[in-house]
Amino acid sequence: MKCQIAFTNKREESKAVEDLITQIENFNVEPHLVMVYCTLKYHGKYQKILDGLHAHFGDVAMIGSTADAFVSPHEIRSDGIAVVVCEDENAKIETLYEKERTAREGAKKLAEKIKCENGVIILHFPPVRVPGKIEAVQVILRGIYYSLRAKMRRERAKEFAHLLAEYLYDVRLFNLPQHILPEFAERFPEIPVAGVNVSHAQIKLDSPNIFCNWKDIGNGISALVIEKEGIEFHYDDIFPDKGNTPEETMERLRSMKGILKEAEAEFVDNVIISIDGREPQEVIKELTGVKKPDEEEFLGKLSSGKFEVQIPYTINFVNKKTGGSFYTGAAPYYPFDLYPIIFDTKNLDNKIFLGYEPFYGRITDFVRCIESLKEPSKFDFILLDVSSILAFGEYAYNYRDFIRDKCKDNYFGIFTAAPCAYLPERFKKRKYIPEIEKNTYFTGGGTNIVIEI
Amino acid sequence: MRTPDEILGELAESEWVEAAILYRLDGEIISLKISREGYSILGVLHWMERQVKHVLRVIEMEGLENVIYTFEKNKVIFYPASKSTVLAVITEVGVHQQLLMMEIIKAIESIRSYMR
Repeated sequence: MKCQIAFTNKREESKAVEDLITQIENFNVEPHLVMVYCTLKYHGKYQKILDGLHAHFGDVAMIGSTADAFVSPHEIRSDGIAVVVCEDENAKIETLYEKERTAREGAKKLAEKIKCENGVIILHFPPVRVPGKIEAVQVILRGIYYSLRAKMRRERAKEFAHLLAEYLYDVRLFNLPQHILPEFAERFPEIPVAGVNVSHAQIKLDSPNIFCNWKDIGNGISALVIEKEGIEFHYDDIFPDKGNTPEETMERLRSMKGILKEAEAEFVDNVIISIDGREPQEVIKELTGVKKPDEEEFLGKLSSGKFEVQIPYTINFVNKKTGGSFYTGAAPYYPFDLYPIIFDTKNLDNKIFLGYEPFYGRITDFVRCIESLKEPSKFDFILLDVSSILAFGEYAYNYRDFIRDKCKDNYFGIFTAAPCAYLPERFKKRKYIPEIEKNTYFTGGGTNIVIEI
Repeated sequence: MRTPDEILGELAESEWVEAAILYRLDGEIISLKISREGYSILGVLHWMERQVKHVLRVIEMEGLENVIYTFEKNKVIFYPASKSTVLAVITEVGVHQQLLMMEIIKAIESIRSYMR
């Protein structure tokens, strides 16, 4: 695959489109696929931008989303729009999407539509969607109501937490990778699947956004299917291997830097009810020193677009079935006591580990997947974890040089939440620890993927 | 090669940047781009006019990597761009500093190439 990239950071969307088209007119690639990624700067204007580009490209297959930053030859940018124009006569390229009521239904329908015998599937979806203001108020009220009921009727706490989880699932606040990836793994056991977890370091109301076939599909799930011989898929993460048993993995966690405390948690679906018999937010306050926000403060931060979701404290879980371990951020995210998380807790051990992010000394591990590259002439599509920028600040700019040396000129990458993946056996290089389901990998940070096309 | 005016012009297009100013070490302005005008930024610009020579002297004497001043609504980041220049970026309080840093580093690299 051969690609050329246009980039602009003009504030006004009409000028941005104009600037992009001027650059694209000088390209010498035949567009078979167009990828569009923009930062939240253009919030509310995505469709106008897509319309402007659509008028230029016509009905070429198109995929994209919002993102926190991009890496392209040879710079890292955290503000603007990148348009990647791809040409590949030997590939069959298809872009599709679904906007069903629930993530599971959407993923199932999308998987049913896809035909792929040899190649790669790249999904885009927001693992957590931030709703609009009115819906955010409804979610807060439900959260407060179920938390109060759970507190007053302790013996029925599981039931109320389950009702909250069901509600959040129904309004599609959560699109759990655990619900989405297995639908594709089941239908395409021999095809690697990458999940771009579209999420932002600073969140805004009614975001993130997914784009497909020149439409802003908001909270939908999109798939880019590339059918082609010889595609290489390299997943890696910053963590050591998992143990042979869940107990061994727990031993490894205990010896890891950053683990501060072990505790017993009670949970149901994707909601934590208590930690060591106490309200989760109380324990999190002890860990982070920050108290849970009140409703007004929470809504105010969301409305201003300055709500930072990436925090350095973690709750680590162990899966009894896979022996894997993964974490979610421990922060006073919600103005209520029950604590929804990004994992389904089915199969999780009740023993949890509280600590801080195990990033120290691992700056190069955030781009570890790049070391596995086989052919520099192929196009490299890179998915990186934005927490690397947040953890290492300006030192993360060195990724540009590392990537340039390995990928030469034909590459493009995005920084969003840590990507997830389904890996058929032949794509596994070691016993990766964040195994949430069999051969499916997802955690709150530290994963990275490069696809050679 | 892009000129400081072009480099600062691009930086000032950033969502987070309200103004970008490139100073010579003696306090003279080489380039200035303001992307959002308002009373709060006027106040900061006045403050900078009075204090910038002192700030630049301290950066040079102490060899500081960067200096940040936080006001009620704005933040000013001073970043040495070359041996003889300092880039000042005015942002709103609460913007994501690490993400903004990626844009600032990119601008500084371009300024350094221009100065070479």
